[in-house]
Amino acid sequence: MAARDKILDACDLETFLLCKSADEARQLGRQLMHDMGFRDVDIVSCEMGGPGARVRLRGYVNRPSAAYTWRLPGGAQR
Amino acid sequence: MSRARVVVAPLDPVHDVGVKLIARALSDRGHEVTLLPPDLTPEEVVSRAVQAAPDFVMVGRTLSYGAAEVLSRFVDLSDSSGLRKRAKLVLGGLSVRPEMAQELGFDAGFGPDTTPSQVADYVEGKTGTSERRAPDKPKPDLTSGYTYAFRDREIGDRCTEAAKLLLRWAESRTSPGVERADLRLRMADLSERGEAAEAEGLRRRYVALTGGDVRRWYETGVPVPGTRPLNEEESLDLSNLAGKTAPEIPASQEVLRRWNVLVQYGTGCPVMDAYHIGVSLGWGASGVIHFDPSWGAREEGLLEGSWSHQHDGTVITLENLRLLSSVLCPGILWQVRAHRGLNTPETVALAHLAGADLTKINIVYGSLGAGTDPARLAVDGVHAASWGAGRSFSPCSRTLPKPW
Repeated sequence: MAARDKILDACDLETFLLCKSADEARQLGRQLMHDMGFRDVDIVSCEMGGPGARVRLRGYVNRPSAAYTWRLPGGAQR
Repeated sequence: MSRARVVVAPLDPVHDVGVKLIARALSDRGHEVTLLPPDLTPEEVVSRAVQAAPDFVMVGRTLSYGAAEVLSRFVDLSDSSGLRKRAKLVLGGLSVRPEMAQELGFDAGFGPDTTPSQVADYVEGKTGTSERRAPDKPKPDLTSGYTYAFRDREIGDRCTEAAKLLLRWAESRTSPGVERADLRLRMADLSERGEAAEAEGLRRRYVALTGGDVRRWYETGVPVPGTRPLNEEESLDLSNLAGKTAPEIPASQEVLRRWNVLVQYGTGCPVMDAYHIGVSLGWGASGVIHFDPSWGAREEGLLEGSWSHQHDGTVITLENLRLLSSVLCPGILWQVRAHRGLNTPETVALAHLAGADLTKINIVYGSLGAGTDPARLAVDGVHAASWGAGRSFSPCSRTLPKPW
């Protein structure tokens, strides 16, 4: 089981992306999370400042009421 | 351990946050603490410490150029002044190690992983650490120290008169929400006494007072959109979690012990909620607050059974509340907010039946921008508040003296 599958609900990532607009930052943020293997992504915040934008990205692994990955055999369930 | 006398000093030009935390922890435990300001010389610290006649002298220092010389000088002065004869010398700081402190001549040293309570334990002669421990305090009384007294008598009189008018106006009125709350309580009472047939009769009357998707579920079994019954495995998960969420609060969060921090949960799924509750309590929260879906305020009536919800808010049913209650450990406050539009009185009833400590009723909530009839909300709110005040939301719902 991948470590990602043991995430309780979501993984937040905050970083500064060099870009020209907030739209570009959101696009880059989604691309970044997809590259990391997160398919269900929210842009929690996006704030332009200087040469780019500070973005907070949330990659959901388990949404409430889903079939939780940590309940699968070998999961992290207590 | 009797009360210790402790001098705490930042033997440093500016850095005093750490020693302030230590000083506060020691004061909280009843010790007599003298906190000196930063930027004193070793001579000045020793001079003031001698006057205070302490049992312990604790100095904090960041390691920089000359630190070893300053600290060694402090120890030498403590020896020559006689301070050392009665007081133990303690060194703390982000770069301090116990071995290093001993080499410099201190009796003990505390490094960056130290918690204030560990230092207090040392002062009290306790061995080991208190990094993790379950809370043993009773549920706090949130109403303690509050009254209905008004500072301004005229405003108080006017508010009291307005409240009386509202009570007189509402007491002779009722609503489907008030009637459902009454039926819920009577059904619960009958079920407890094993009178299933009578309870079923009341349930039919209850269903007649519901509306929308909730009524459709009662009549056809079609779930409210976005909901599904909790399956057996999930229910088992919750029962396995029961009793396992007793918090072991990281020492770094000990500051929360001084405050009553309540964390909202309501992911939609009671299983996910149970984990979130465990995490919140593990980080020092004193309690949790149940949040339910927004449609729970707009539909007449509440569901029955255990439900998972795919969107924000965990469905209020007696069964869901009882499942979540089972994962709370002793000493934890539990609030089920009840200003739920058309279901305020019923939510208060279910919160009481599930053993909640607190509820919350806001009479106008839902009428200003949400479009619900304010008169209806006033009737529901007054009945819910009057009824709730007479029931046990213990132990922190001590009945306050009525202002009227």
